[in-house]
Amino acid sequence: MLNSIKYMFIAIVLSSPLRVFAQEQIDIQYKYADSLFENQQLFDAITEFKRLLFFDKEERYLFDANSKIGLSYKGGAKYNNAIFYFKKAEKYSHSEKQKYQTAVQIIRVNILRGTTERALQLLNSLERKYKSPTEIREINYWRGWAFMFADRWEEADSSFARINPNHPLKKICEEVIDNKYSVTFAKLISYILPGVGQFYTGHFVSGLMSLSWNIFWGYLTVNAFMNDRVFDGMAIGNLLWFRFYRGNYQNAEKFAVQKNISIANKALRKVQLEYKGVKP
Amino acid sequence: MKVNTIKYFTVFQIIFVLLNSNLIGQTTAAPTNYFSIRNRLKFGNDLFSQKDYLRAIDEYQAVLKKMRSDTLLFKIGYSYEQMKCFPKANSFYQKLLNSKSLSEIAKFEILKTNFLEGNYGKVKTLHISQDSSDNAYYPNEAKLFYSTYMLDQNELPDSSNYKLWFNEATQSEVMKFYRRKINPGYKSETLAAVLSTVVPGLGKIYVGETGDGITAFLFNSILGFLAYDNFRAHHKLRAWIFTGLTALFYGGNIYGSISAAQIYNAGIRFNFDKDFKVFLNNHNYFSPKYYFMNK
Amino acid sequence: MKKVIIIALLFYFNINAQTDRHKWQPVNKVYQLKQDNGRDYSLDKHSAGSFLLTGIRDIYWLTFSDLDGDNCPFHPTCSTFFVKSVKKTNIVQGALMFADRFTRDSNLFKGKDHYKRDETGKLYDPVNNYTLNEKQIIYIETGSKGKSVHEVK
Repeated sequence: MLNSIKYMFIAIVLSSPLRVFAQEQIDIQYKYADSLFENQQLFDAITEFKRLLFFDKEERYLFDANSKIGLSYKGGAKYNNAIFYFKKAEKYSHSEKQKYQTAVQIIRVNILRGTTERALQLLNSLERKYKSPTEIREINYWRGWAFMFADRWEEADSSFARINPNHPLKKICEEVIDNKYSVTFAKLISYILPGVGQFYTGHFVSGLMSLSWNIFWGYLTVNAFMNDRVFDGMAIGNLLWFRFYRGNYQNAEKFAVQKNISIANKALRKVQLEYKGVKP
Repeated sequence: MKVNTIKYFTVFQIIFVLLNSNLIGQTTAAPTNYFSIRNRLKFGNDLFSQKDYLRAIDEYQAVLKKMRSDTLLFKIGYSYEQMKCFPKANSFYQKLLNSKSLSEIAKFEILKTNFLEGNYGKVKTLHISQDSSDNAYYPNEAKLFYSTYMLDQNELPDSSNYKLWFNEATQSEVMKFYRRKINPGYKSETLAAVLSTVVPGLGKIYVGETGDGITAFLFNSILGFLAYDNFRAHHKLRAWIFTGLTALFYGGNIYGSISAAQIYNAGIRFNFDKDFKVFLNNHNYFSPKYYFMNK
Repeated sequence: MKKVIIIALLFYFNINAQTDRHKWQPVNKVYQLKQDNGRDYSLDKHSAGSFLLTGIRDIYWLTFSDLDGDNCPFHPTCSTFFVKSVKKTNIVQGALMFADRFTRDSNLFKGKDHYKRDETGKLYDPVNNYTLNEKQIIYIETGSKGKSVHEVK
């Protein structure tokens, strides 16, 4: 009995090189897949990470490979797939840090995907769980990004301000807030005097034409009533004057909204091209 | 006795391990063991079962470079079919026509890919050229063959054919579709046009667009009245303008009734096709079960 | 009920299906918000007729249609519909198509629930459906949301 245990022990010792070799091979495969990933051959990288996962019987790379697949899909703008694999990685994470990192990745993908509401939700639940200063800083940072992508610049501004009052992204947010037109104001002044809202947003020709039409139809309506042509007056007033009056304040609103989107897009372009920090 | 067995077993294991590590020692120069044919095949099968068809195809193709396998050719065809690349799927099934075990099933799949692509004419010629005796899947093919008539505009074969080929479970459903196909309840374009010529808007009401019909009637009568009224009051120019407008809207009303009938009929065809395709999908296009694929 | 389940299942599988149907390349995501492109005022210089037609359309747009608010519930709008139908067919048929469209646009009696709404909430009513060529009809399922447009062939 004792002898057989001895033999078994020898067998185990001798078979260990085999195991070491299997491990090495897995490592080589991981390096190979990772090099594809680094070279931006993302589709092939996913194949190789999947191959790695298939042969990784010891499940050593379950977290790394899944999160790399997630990153590859993210690089290909296939956000749904990316989130699917990040969730898998989250499930197999070895430490609290890894778990946190994948959660942040999922949030970043949500920001890129344009599902900013979901990103903000996830950030709130992340905030309840992770309280260290660096983590709080990072959460606020991505919150700022989510607000920027959601076109909510005031909130983005205050999120970045919580990290650093002189944060470069905060400056950009401030610029946007300063440059933006007030949609309500544009609409309101066009209610009062047709065309003025359009002037406010810089659409002078349109504003002038709106004003002229309103004066013209207004004159005809009033004229009709003055001459006791009530039916004509009502018809012109309802069908034409009112139509152009409504068109006037609708235009003021539309122009302000369009201008604001242009301003936001200009800022976003600047952020994408000039900002050096981490981006989603 | 027991100790002895363990001993022998262990000795055997040691020898095995030594041999193995020797072998490995030789192969360390080429560490891409995961890319051996066997492993690529295994990995490909795993991808196939995950429905990651494009990657599975790559693995299978690599295996096929080293060895011939009809099953793999079929699985590649099947993968392309799942990705809705029907011509490509077809080309792989074509390669199996001389295969011993898979030629019949390949024939059925060729028919099916043509069906899925909407080449109903091709399905018909393929099926007619075949003999019932040399194909085990003839009944499956026959079902698809008769299904083509449901989806194209050719004259329907006699209902007895459908009763013959569709079994108890599907028969009643198929017969329902058959009756729907014969009496689709189309609205006549000509009748719509005639009705709208007699009374503006009536054709639209006949087609079911009541609101549009009433509007067309009002437009025509108001414009017509205005034309008449201006002629009576000797406002020549205005009268002719209104006459022109009346003519335009009168013509537009007849035109619109015809197109409304066409759209109504297109809707009937659309819904019929959709329902029938759901039925086919429910029955997996009458495909046989491919147990060999899971090997 | 069965149909609903099948459609729901198809939808479910669609979500979970692998999207790697071709070998894709990395994508550089552009950080931009969606912006309405607005109207296309470009003149069609292919023939004198279409040049005139698009010119008249532009004058109508600039002096009238752009200023009197958002009135047309359809996509494409009536003026675009007219220009497109004339281009697709001829001036006579285009005029008839426009007269019919204008009538349908003015319909006050019954909800326009047999049209499908597009992303912006406009009623989708393509020119193709009215050329009297059955093969061109794009039948649109109403009552179902989403962008899918089915062609009947």
